[in-house]
Amino acid sequence: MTDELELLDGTLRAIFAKHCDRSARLAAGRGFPRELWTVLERAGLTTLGGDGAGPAELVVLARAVGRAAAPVPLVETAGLAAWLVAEAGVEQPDGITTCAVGHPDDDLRVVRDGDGWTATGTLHRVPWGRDGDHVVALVDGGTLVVLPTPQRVRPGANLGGEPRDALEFDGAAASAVADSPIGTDALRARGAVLRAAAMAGAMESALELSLAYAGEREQFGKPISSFQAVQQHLVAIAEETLCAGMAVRLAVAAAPEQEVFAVAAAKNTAGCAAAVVTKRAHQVHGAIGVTDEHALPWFTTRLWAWQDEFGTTREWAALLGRGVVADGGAGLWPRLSASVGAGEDR
Amino acid sequence: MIDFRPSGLTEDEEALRTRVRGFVAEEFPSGTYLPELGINAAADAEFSRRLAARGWVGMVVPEEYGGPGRSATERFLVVEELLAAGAPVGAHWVADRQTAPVILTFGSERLKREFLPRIVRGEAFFCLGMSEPDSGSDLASVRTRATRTDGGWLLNGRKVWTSGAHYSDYVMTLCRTSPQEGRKHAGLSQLIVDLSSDGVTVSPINLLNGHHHFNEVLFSDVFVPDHMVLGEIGSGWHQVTSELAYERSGPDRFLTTFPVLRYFLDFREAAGPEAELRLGALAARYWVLRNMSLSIARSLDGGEVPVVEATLVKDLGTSFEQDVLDVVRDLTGGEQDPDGDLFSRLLADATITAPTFTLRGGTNEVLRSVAAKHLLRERRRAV
Repeated sequence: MTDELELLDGTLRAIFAKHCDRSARLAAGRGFPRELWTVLERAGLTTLGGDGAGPAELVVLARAVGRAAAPVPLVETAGLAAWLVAEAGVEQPDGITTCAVGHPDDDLRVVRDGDGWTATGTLHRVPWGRDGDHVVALVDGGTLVVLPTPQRVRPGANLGGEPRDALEFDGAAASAVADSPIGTDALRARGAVLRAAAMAGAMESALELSLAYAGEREQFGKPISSFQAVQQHLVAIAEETLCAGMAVRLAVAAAPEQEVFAVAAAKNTAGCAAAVVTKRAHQVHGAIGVTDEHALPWFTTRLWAWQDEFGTTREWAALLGRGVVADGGAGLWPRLSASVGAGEDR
Repeated sequence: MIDFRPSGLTEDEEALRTRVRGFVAEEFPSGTYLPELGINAAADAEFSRRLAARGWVGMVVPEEYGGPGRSATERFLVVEELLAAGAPVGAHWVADRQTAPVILTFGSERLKREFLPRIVRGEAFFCLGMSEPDSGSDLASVRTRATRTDGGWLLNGRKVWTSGAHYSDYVMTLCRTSPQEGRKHAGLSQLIVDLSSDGVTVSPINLLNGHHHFNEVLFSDVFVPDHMVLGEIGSGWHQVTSELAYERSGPDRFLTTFPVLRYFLDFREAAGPEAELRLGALAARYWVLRNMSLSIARSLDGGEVPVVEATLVKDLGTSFEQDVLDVVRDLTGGEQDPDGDLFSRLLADATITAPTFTLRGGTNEVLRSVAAKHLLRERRRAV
């Protein structure tokens, strides 16, 4: 990583280490962790994607969120909403601005109303929809709309306990409407890379916890890390974690013409890796890992949730596969061996 | 902390790759050529010399020893093109991958002058005298012994599963030069043995498909002159383990079955949701593994010795080579015909030799034990 990225990573690690401990997490179960959010805001991190930060920075941010299993919509606000509004030339509202994920059931429509616009319809599975002050959504493939959070919220959650809420609008006045140069496919791709990055971070933590526990826990009079069967699990966890991290970095480094392939490979790789890491990390931990007394479930439950968000592991595999079939035998090797852009340290 | 960084290619590297691709397309046209499978490849000394004439054998050997002085990354780029096309790289393989770098690192000036220019010209082929009947994964338990004699060493013992000894000129032999007292990793040495020496007998041990790839190599009072000792007497273990970053991380550890997949796409109908899902997942894995392997080549060029990274990539890559076959077999369907068309023959050969992928160069189970100890040690150090 460059010095700037190291600095960003260090800042995020320090904030989460201080403000995202066990008690903060228990409190988060009862309400939004305002204190943590305020710290992130003051550090300028919640507007990162609108301040000229590119995928390299946002991937560092998402990875740190995953590594800490931070119960805040930082990826959605800084990585998606801030980016979308900045690209459309709209100011990012103060407070928590979350981002609709382009759910297939979304039916939001925006109509002219005098000088302004009003919105009607429902946005589904919006991350932290209930806690946001505003939500940013793309409608009709290319129109950006910024809306205040409505009265009617149907709360929901993902497997990791993160809010995924339905927001219902009925003639709500929009704060802003603008043409968006970012389409729904590009939003989904950005979301997929950032989820993959968060997954790589969560897997790092699952690896760290597994190495720690295997080294401490004694059975049959010795640490369980001295058993080869356990060692094989630890190595598989490390390998898959490294694959996911590399796949994410490749998506960042990809040249424009290989971006779709690299994004799909990143989300697919992270999804496959998470399947191995969650199973084996739980196996290493035994019964304590399946209780809420241990931190492991913070990461594994999020990994199961994130596997399916912004395109499932299989959906991205199918996209890659259609490319392989279309390229045929002669096209396969040039595709797989295409060099990524630049070659600078990322 | 273990890490892999993506790396692009320079213009020179891209140009090199374009030249190699042109050469490979001419030598091995798809559809009429039966590809070789990775390092089980047949030996074709004439091909090795054509490659050498282009400067693509012993590429890392510096100019003062007759080589082109190219980087590990440039070698990576050449080798991956050859393996993806299923080229017959057998003859020069060990000399190119392993012997040239270790002679450069540990060899005397005399060994460098004597061997490196010949390796570069494709005129000196090597094999590795490591395994013995009672020493596989536990390599330090080798019993082949060299005892002191006038001007050199007298070698006695038996090596088995020695790939390519029947067409190689020399065998890099790991042996015991002092009796085992206490630590078994001490007292080991590496000798370069001329396979035409008196007292050397090479006989075939056929693979399960009947192919002659492995050999038994018997040493009976074979005289090895002092100057053929690689590095220091007694430093054999250190030298052998430092070879591992070269041996374990290259494209040969994930591309063995690539020609099978390529020919599947060329010769069979691949369509439908199952094919898309499974081929897509393979493509993602190739992409990631190739870039991890390339990242290790870059580390080697940067003067690092990424042994653990190489170990992990070898474990992942060789397991994946077998996974590729499972997918291709499922998508092909039906009974396999070892006497069918080019694709059928290739798939049959790959299916039968697949167990070798995760055995050679250290079984994957042993690799994982080594890697686990490293991970646990690093973590203890970090906290």
